[in-house]
Amino acid sequence: MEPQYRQGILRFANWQLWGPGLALIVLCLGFSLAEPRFASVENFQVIADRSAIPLILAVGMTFVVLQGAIDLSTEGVMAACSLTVAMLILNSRSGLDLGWLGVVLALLPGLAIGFLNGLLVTRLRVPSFIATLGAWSVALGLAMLVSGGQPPLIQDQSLRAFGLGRTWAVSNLALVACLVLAFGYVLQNYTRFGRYSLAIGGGEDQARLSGLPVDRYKVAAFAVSGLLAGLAGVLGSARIGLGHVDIGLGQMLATITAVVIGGTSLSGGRGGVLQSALGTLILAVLANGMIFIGVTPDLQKAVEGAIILSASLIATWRLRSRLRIVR
Amino acid sequence: MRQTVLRVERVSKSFGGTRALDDVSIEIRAREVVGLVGANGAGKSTLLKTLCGLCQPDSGRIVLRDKVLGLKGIADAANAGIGMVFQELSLLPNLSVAENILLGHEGAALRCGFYDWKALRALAAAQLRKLGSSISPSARTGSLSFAERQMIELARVLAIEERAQNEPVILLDEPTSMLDAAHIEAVLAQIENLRERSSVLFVTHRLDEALRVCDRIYVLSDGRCVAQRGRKDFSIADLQQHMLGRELGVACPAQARPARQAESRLSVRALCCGNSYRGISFDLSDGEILGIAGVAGSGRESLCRALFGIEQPDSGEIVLDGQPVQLGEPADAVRLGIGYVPADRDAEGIVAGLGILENMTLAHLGGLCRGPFLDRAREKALVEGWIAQLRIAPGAAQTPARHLSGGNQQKIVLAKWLVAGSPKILILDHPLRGLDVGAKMDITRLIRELAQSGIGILLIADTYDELTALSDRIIVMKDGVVSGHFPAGGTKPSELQILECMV
Amino acid sequence: MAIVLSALGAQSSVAAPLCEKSQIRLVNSMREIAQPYHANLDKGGRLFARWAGLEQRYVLQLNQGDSDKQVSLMRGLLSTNPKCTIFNVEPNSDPVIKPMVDTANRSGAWIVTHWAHGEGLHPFDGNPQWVAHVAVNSLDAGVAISKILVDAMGGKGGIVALQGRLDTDPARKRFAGLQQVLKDHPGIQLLDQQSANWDRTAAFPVMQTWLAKYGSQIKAVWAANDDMALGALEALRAAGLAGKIPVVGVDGIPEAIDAIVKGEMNATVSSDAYYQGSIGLAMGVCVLTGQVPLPKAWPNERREFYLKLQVITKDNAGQFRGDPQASAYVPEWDCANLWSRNTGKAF
Repeated sequence: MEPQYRQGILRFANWQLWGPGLALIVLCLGFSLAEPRFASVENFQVIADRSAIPLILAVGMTFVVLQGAIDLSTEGVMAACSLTVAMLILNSRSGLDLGWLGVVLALLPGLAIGFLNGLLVTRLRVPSFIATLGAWSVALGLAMLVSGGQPPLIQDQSLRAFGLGRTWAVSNLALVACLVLAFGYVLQNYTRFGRYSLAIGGGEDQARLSGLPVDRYKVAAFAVSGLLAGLAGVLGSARIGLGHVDIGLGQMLATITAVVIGGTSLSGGRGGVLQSALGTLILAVLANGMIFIGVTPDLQKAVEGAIILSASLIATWRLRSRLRIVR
Repeated sequence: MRQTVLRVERVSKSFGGTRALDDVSIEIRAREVVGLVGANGAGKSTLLKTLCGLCQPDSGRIVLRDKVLGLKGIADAANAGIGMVFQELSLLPNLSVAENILLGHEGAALRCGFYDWKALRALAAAQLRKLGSSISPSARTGSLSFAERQMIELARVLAIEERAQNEPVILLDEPTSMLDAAHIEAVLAQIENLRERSSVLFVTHRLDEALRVCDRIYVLSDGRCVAQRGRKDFSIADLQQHMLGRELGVACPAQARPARQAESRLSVRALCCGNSYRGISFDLSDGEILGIAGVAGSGRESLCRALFGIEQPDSGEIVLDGQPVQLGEPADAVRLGIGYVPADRDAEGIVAGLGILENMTLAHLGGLCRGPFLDRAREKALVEGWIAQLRIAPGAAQTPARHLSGGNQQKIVLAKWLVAGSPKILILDHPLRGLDVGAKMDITRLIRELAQSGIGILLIADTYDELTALSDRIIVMKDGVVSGHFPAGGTKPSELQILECMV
Repeated sequence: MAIVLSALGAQSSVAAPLCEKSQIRLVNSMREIAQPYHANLDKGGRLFARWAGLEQRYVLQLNQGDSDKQVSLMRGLLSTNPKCTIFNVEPNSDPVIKPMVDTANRSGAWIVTHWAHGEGLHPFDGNPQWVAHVAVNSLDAGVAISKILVDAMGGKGGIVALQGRLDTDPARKRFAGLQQVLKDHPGIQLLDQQSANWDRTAAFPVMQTWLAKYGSQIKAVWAANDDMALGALEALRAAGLAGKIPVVGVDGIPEAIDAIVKGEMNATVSSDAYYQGSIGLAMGVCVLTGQVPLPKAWPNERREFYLKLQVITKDNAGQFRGDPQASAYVPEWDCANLWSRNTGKAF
């Protein structure tokens, strides 16, 4: 059971979750009223499928952000693992055919880059912003090198079928995302890694003073983020059918936006994976709903921006005391 | 004679050129409370840090039950059975009480890497029971009061008992300096409690407390252990003499102050703010020092913050020089000539990274400008003048503020409000907190000088001595209302009288 | 062969050579190299460089979608040896051409541009260093594929359209081609259109959402480039509709040609990336070695002309599979044949 901070019935009034949850419900209702076709089972399946990869990314990013750091290397890692999986399993360029072993191996670059990020931040004291920015470029560059203008096409049919297929009326990718979310929830609330990450974000000095091996958990957070970004890249390739350098295009900002809208503070110490999941869903519903109600493409970016601003305002309304420092 | 548990043998430690500890030897025996007193900078903190592994001595050794210790960090110390309660609390505000108590040593509550919340809460509750506390293990630490958090710190240190084979050694770094009277009593009672299951090293500024609970007291001065006294030989004057190396009167000599008849500078009428305070009315004249007494939760801190614009009252009136004023934010108050010296110096008073110069001129840069540019020469001259007048040491204007001792930092905070001209009103929130005897005297003198120059001063103080020594008038607040008023002139109220109004 | 020899020999003294052959530097400036179209641009350039014996003097400049960078990369390179450098440019966006042409005019470098440029700009209008502009009639391309799509639908039903980056000329003109064709077919309805920025990962979720919204109303998918078409195709595959709904795109990348052969796509249009990536360099070399007169002496139609486009459908897809050889292009790189794919003036 998650730590309960209130007594009695109020135990379940976790405002952190209710806020974004309510926003999601309002959005869904609004879109359904404007365009009834939005509220079909098929569309909700589409939304679930569409949020699968962003959700996996958001879970990984959440741990890093909870500690008060940031991981900008998402897109690079996705590209690197996308190319790796495309080269390791049956494909049009290399002669390899490692099947599901290839899929597992393709996660290793993500893990490795995550570790690298962690070591840069803890040993060399490079700010996470800079370290992960560099990792992004390096990973992307490596992916481009491998791709070389002739992206490897995935010919392994079982992986393609997995990426595009469904199990019990839910897309496979959405199922994987749910598993990742569950895994993230357990990590966050039932392991030292999760609880201490919260502590590090809320007061790193005190954490160190209390004897916590802070560096170890920082590296772990980046490693988890890298691993999950790798998973996202692999799944994206399964769906699209090739190793694609642009597989993660735009995902980094979208992930951070989702995490922030969900209520996880960028300065650390507050939030969680469930909140980030809600944030992801909000963004997915938004993008999907705007197509349904026919907002012209030119206007969509502006509308998205306006909604993100409003969501942030609502999320931090309680905290807007004059004397609070905002950066 | 009881058995020796912890022995510090001829430990020395230098930081750069300064010798923080010089050949110090002390001894702590089983089930005793040993006091450690000394002026700021005498080396008490350094000694504690050495004992809990935060720094390594240059020479000498630490022996715990006949085993030489080589401590590399807090975790090592905890494993050896030495626990420290920090002055600036080291709890993690985001975590629950239970997690903080068992941090790093969750033991049976951690199965295969996964938390068993029920077990964790039970273990924590057991520690809290030792202290007789009713704080809920599930509460979020950040939401507790200072005093409650200190209780958690104690519980955390006691948790060492479960792991160590022997009774732990508990180091207390000035646990009472941030507390008010009622809570101080509670802490001292706990120390008595602790004596039955551990050995305690109790560091404090307040000699009366040390005399009450300690079996023996060591005096540190300039890094050296200059005296050791047993119960039979306790005497405040004697200890003070060793601390400062000079004869002293009472720490804050009282002065007869003539009753002043002056215009009322500041009038507060029926000020209310929710549950914090209700119906507060008083006047403050030129050059008068008004002391406000009360326990935590009496509303006096909120009241003063409202008078500086940090918080807004719900209703009532603040009248300054005959004009009602609205204080929406501190900038308004500063503009109207109200200054505020906060209780938490580190967090709210000085900018640690900046130098003395920058800190002093922080509130009044406008007055030092020529056109859009800062007049650096004038700024420097002004600041150097104040450094000399206030005897701030070290005296280089660019010394970073965090390198100064508490007393000197407090002087900077005061100077900040004096730099560009006299403010009309100064609000002082626990100005003498955390200062050693010498610094207290300096600041007391300073406050008196300020009052004499015509500034009206609102003073919140903790100890009876400070209140009566400094204040012309005293009002007492209890649960948000004024419960007692001791006017100027006439005899000073006794400690009992004030206490009666406070609780 | 005889033509080539005589061309090289007879025309060797049409004008005095401006540069030593060893001094000539060949530059291909394009957005990126991850997409097959751009990769083939680069390959075409390298094929030419190898054939001309200038392999070591070939430079590739990638701007990653940043127009400012495309210009600054050019300027950076021209700090040395400007007068013997030839730029073959795929512009990141229309406005980028003017600053690049100005740079060439000022520094004495030579530039050949492709696709489209802004209004009012022409090589023959006081731009001596602007050798030629090889325009692509995106409107024709759009019309061509739209016609094929409409025929495949049987003249009625609903179409969804995936547009490219809305601020580029090819995106606008191709879509205009669609709209032009639709005007003549009132039985067909444009259900929805959305920009997917030329990218298949962006096209996938958009197509998914459309399938949820319009369901069986969708009878055809129109995409402004092959990459987006292939992304939409995967979404169709997930819904079990691959091969059942006609899809068209533009670019002629190998994957698209394979899809056409398999019957999952119906048509694409190729401007022949290998040709585009090499012809500008060939023109420049001919000018610099004096085998053709200076561009300012050329007739206007040779300085701004439309490139011949190839529409690829199931009928002729077989021809376009596999990597081409240099030998297929050598005749067209010949200085006498530089305008072999000229279909008419573009102004």
